Amino acid sequence: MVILITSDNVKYVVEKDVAELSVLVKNMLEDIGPSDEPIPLHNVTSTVFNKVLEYCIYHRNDPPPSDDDEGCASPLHKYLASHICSEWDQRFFDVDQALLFDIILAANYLDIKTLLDDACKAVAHLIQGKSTEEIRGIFNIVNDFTPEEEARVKKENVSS
Amino acid sequence: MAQPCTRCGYNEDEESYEDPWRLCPESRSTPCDLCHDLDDLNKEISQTRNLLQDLLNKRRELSSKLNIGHPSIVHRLPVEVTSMIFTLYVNPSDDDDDDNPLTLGAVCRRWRQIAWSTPSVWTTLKIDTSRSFIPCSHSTLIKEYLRRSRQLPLSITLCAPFTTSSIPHYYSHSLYSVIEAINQQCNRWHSLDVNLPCSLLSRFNDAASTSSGLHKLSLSSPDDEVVETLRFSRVAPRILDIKGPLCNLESVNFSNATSITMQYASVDHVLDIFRMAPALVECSFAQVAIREELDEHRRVTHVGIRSLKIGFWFNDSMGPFFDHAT
Repeated sequence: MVILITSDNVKYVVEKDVAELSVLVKNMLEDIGPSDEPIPLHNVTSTVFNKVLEYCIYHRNDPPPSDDDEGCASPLHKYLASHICSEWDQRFFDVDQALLFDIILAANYLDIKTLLDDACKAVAHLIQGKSTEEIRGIFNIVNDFTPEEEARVKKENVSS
Repeated sequence: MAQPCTRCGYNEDEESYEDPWRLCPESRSTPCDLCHDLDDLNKEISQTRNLLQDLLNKRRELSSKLNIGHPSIVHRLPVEVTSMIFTLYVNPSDDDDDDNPLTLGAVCRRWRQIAWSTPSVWTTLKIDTSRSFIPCSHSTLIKEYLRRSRQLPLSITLCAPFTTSSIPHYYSHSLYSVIEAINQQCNRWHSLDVNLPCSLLSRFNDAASTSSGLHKLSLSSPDDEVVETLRFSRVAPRILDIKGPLCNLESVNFSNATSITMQYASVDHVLDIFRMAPALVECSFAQVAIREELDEHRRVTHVGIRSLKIGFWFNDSMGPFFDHAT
């Protein structure tokens, strides 16, 4: 068992194979060796870590992303081709935007590649098939182009 | 600028706000009250428009500052994570239509900067000229795509709904430079799917290829024109899909092919392909016909093929094929 402490001082006792889905935790465990010392997770709150843990427990027995799919160009493409989000994943990521982005930041910090990929996929899915205006609306992004830049952007999109 | 009404075509911008008293009879030295009122109203509209423009400009300036001072929740993500989302956006894992990275670049300055500097966002190039004409600016854009993808493998789809005889000259001319730009990147072809009239198909070549990473090559021409000239002898795709009769087998490199699908072939061509494609595992030939008398002593044995689908144009082709292939 591994003891993890979130940034808001909540203690978690987690099975080692689950905790080691995080490369950060795995490396820390290797560094400190056999020990009961708790591992601090400075950048993750308990609210977010609950979700991360839920994901890791569900996916603990997943095979690692396959490297032998020659039909795809990059490692990311290889991963995508071999890993399609399940219904469980879709329900898991059906959360408010703030939490979704917090999960991404946590996955990035903890270095959990599959969670990061799946969460990024969920964000990409939010904007697929949407217009520029709709995307701005979804993420509350302000159009900060100058009139000249905007004219160029519009011209570019018309000719595409 | 106001857009014309989509129903009636009325465009406020086309309204004249000058010289309202031109309608007054020439004999009158001073405009009538109505013209005066109209003139006053026009001046008021003009001033209000200028005021609105000033306000819009101020709003834009404040918006720019707002993105920096109060970043959107999405701007909290590190650049590399945003890049990853963009890559997933343009390369969805399902079969939905791919989205255009230009849409991302039109959202805000930060997204534009990230999209423009993420090569994996630009590796899928789909040009369907049945949807839009390719003007010069478009071909410049395609070259930009290729440049922004840096050295990553490319997936290219190019199709035009014309035959050699029906394609307009200006159309094919605008595609020449696009094809030339694609040819220059032949080392980076990962998949090349081309459906063009033969006159354009023959412009593709892999002369600049020094190494081949080509995974899939799909070639077809509208109305199944005979593919007379092909120059793909250097790149050696794993998957080959050729629709339309192929004249010269030597113009395609079959040496790495594990899967071959051909619409039309002669019996001797099929036997030649078996000889030229030692790695072949599965193949499908939809319509095979006998073209010439086969050499009685010619025998081809292929030990790797696990799946063979073959349809014969005439029944008399079946016997000679099975007599010569094992």
